[in-house]
Amino acid sequence: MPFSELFFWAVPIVALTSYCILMLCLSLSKKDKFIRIFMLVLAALILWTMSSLFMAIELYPGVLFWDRVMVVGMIAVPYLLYYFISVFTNSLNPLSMVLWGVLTAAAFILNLLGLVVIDASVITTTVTENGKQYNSIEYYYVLGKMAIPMYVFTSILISSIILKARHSVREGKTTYGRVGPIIAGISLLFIGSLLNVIHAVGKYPVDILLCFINAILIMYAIYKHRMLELRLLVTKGIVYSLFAVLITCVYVYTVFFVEKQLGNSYQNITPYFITLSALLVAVVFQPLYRVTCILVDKMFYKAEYSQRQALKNFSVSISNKLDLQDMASELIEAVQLAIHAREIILMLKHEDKGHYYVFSTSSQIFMPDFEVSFDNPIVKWLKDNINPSLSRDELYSHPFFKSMWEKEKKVISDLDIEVIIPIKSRSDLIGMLMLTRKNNSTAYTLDDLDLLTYLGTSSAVAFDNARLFSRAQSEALTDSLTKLFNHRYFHKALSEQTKIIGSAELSLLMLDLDLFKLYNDLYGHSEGDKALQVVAAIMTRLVGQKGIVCRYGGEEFAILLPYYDSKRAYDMAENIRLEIQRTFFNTTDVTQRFLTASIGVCTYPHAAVNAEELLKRVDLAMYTAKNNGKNQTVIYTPNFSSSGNLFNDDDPVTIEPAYTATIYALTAAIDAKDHYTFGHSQRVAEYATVLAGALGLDKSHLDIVRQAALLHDVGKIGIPENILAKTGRLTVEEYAIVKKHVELSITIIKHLPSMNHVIPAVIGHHERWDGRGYPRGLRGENIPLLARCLAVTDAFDALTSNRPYKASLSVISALNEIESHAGTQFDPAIAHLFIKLVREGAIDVEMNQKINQGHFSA
Amino acid sequence: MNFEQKLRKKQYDQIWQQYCGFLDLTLPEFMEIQNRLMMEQLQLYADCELGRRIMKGKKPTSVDEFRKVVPLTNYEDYADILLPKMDAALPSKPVLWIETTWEGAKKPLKVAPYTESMLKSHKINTIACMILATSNKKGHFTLRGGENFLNGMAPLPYLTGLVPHLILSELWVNFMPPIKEAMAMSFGQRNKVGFKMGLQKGVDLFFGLSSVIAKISDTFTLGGSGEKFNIFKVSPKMSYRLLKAWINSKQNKVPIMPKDIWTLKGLICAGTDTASLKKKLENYWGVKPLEIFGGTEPTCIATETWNKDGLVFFPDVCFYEFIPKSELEKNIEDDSYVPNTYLLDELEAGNEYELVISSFKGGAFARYRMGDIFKCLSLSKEEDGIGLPHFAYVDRDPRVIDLAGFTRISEGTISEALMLSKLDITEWFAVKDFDEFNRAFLQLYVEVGSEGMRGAMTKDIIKEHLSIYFRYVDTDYNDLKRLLGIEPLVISIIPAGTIRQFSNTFGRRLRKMNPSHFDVIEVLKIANGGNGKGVF
Repeated sequence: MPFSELFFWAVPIVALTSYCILMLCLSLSKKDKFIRIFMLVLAALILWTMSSLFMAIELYPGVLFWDRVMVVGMIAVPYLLYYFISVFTNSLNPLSMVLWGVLTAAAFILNLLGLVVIDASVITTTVTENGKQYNSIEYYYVLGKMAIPMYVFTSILISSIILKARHSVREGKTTYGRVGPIIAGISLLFIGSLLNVIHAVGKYPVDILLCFINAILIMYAIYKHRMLELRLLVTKGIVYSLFAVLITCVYVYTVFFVEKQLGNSYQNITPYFITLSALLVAVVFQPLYRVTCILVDKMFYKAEYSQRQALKNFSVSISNKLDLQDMASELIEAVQLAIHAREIILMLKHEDKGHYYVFSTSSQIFMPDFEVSFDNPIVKWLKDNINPSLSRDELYSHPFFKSMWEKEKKVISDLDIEVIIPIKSRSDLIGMLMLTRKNNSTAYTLDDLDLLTYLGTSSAVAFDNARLFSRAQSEALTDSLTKLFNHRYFHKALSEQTKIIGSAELSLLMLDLDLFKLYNDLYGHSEGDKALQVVAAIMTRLVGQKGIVCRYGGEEFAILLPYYDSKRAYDMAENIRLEIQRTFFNTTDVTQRFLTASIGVCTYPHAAVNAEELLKRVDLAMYTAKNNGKNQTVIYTPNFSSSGNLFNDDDPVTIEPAYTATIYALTAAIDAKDHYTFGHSQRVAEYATVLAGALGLDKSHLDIVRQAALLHDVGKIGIPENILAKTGRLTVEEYAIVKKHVELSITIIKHLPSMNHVIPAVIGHHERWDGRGYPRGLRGENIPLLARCLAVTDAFDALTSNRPYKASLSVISALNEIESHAGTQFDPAIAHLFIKLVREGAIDVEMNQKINQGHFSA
Repeated sequence: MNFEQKLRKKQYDQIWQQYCGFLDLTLPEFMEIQNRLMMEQLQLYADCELGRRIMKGKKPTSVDEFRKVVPLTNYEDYADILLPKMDAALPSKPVLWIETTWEGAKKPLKVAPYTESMLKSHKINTIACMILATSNKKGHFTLRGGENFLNGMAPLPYLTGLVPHLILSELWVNFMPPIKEAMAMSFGQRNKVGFKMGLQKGVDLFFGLSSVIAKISDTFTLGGSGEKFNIFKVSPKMSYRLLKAWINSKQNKVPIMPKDIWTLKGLICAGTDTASLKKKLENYWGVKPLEIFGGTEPTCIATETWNKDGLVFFPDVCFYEFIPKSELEKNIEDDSYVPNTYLLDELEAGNEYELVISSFKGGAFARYRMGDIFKCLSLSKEEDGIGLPHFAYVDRDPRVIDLAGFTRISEGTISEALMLSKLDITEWFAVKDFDEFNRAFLQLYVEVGSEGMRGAMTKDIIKEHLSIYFRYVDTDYNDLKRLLGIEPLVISIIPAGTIRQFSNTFGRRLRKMNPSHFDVIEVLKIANGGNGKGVF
């Protein structure tokens, strides 16, 4: 059979089959307005191809009739396509539709009047080729005088469809992916229509061939770009059966056709050969059936297929995971597979900070920095069970969202968020998924939202567990007080960092708060804890993402600074030290002035070859800073030598005898300045030591109280002499200055290394049992015990001594005074014990006065 | 999708929800929006010079704290920053400055900054008003785009001038006269040209000051505007309507009413005298007018609903506080008294309140006294399914006499006019009153001094003198007579010593502006000497 004959027959058959399959798909699908209009287009295309086939087989009533029917199809197709594209791109203009409709109707009439095709027939001629005879089939037709205007009109209409589609793409109403194949198909139809005018080409069904290519392009647009959302209303089995029947018909027809052809040409061939040829055709048709089934699957069930796959994978993988990051990746992957959103953002709840933060995104590069606070209406909307999701339209139009802040709206708008899905476990909104537009720019369907809601809900419990696990994990590595990494994590991080840092620098800062034990003693552990939190916050703020801040233990902190050389590490340490100093010196409370930090710095690999050495050497640097006077930063260098003894400055045992001389020198200085209190400190020391002994305190405490007593008035060095020596009553201002001697005493004492332990007693010796004392107004047993001892003994010695403003009282009178103020000014138990000690002679007042006077007179 | 596209797609439910959905809010939801937007504003205040000054350098962390920290304010508190338009000192960068007169042009023009965000919500609320104006049932409205819109309001830079611009960005309507042409016309000219166009093309929507609409309607009913128009330019539909109205008028011997010619979809009105003119307008135009309320400082803040029987506040324009009438009275008596304010969910139906607003979305004003009095009609309207309080606009703060929404006469304005007139008037007080056509006028009671008594000091002379000086000190005063045909000033002479006698009798001074109704009766009793012969 020559090619021309095969072409003449096969092209309309294949094109018609394709259109019939498409029509079948659409008629079995759930119909919306797009599908309904597109079915009209297909009907016209079927008319076109079918009449072409009927022409070929010269079906009754004749070729001319079918040719005219074919022209009806040719005229109807552009008009219906124009209608479809207008509706599809939402640019329907009723006026244009009417105009084109009138012209199309006119073309119909002209055709029916026989002014387009005058005559048509099929000419079959017998051709001899290589000694064999074949039938050659050609169309013969005579075009009427209205044929050219009709073709021109059709061409203009097709051009306007193309222009309309292009315009819609430019306006963003649709995408090239969706209408591109249609435009290409229409262009081919356009060419096909024009070719019909040229008789040499028009005698073959070239236009029908192009029609078939158009069918393929339509299928591609539906399959690849979801031009139409096809949802079958019948089961897959029925669809497959229908296609099987259709393809079997074509198959049977083909076999008979082959048999007929062979039978005509080779009558001597045995029936076995026919059977063989049937088998061969079946081999060709079986894959065709398979391909059709796959196409149907992809066209109708593509979304469901991907979604099922996504769900299946997700349910399997999520059940095995406890790591938040892994789970987030799984969820995002599942959503991506099912929905094909351009960007997916997973936000998780931050219970402590009261907001939802971006935890993960589908893109590794894109990590927007924003939060959604708990009081944001989005959160309330999603928490409400009535609302399974939140769309962009709702966000912009529902009055519920009128309370959104401008910046909140801007974030959602900038990110181009289309849908927000809750991740909710019972009534707790654990997180939310924010999705931008889909890749194919189609809107989110209800099915998409159902699936997303399902993914959100099904992952919520797992996320909740993972969150708890992560919190537990984090708590295991976090210091609960300061929220910094703990000692355990520090060692892990140090070891990891030294491994991954290679030959680059890794600096380690070891920070120890100076006099922190004293701080705790003075203010209690609760205040101490607060101070640690403040210091931790300072370090976290200054170090940020540049390093790892850990609480090493107690008041010691370690900071790992990868890629920091000594200089930069030193600068960082100094920033931290100065910020701590500024923070604690800035307060009006005098007693907070003690909190400073000593920092050691050591850098790997220059000053240490491994993690252990780095730690050891930074420790050495830090202790050196402490011993050199505290509140400083010291860098460890290879030729570093520690400049001080590494003793604990808070250990009172170490103070003797190194500073005894200093204490006496200071006492002498104050005695020299304030003649009236000559020997006062000595006497108070004697009384207080006896009193403390009677209270059952051990030797170390007796030493402390003695030293405290000796130093308790050392601050008077800073009080103007005229005030100290004033004979009259002090003015309010002067009294305020005198009261400052406590503060000044502390300032002096804290510069005496290892004398800090006396501060609680010194600072509290003017506190009163009833809370009306100074400087801190402590009450009752909140006043350190040794301070209460000093208070009684100090007052007693003052009463029994001559002062510029008063004469001394007798011991009895003084004791009576003490007694009368027991329970108000003094601790009643200590006051009564002291009175008892004096009365019993355990404290020899006169002797003390004499001794001291003599001692200092000498 | 903008409003017009949604209309084309017939998404009427979505449109209703987007623009009028606030009417479905419950009061707690409304208050939540108020509080949250106020918190946003507090953040913006905290970062700007104006905010720091108003909040006295503090950073309130709650709305309650803000109300405690910030005192009640008036325009003087902002004038040094707003009048020179110091953008940098404001909470957000303004994109537009809207102007209005300040105490009848006695002071410079008041200006208020509008941020982009404010304009957005103003646009939505303006469209909501249009939708509600064309609605008589929840969810149903007849606005479809392409309507002939007769706009009788002032152009930019006044607030009402924003309306056409905002609407056209969402929906095409045919403004009459067209915006560009209207800009070049005077107020009276605009109304005349608009009406002429309306006669030719028809009118679907009408937005104007109640007093102006009433005046135009009166003129129309009494025999037309006197303007001639080309009958050939009239559309066939309008020709038919005109003819039908004319025949009907001749047959029944009744004047032609606007409703005989036009079938309005919606009539939107505003202005202080709306309450007294609404019935009249409905009678003229055949549709219930929709009253809206707004101001230069806050933008449009309240609208009536589909039943047109009470104003409802928009939730996202300003934070609303209300000073009860009793507190306001105390404050009027004693300037130093700080009146307490109440929130929308703390009001009582039947009571009158002065409105205090704080701008949202980067606006400038905080706890700003609008000087407008509202009556809370009900706390909700169950029959309409609205859970929000409904209000009626009562009047301006008694210390100001607003005439037809054109001018605001204060004690200062009258004192200045009296001083400039050099008339020997020793005592006076002023009251806002209405004539038989429900038109407001200023009733000024005066006591003439001994010099005056010796000369020719009749009511007419005093009125003549004062009218001249009122026109001098208050430029808007002039428009009252010119545009509305209102005689805004009525003088009554009371015997010398009447006001002093009142003070002696009651132990308190008589308020100069709008003294209470009972006080006026008492004064007049004294003036009459008990026989009604003392007032001239």
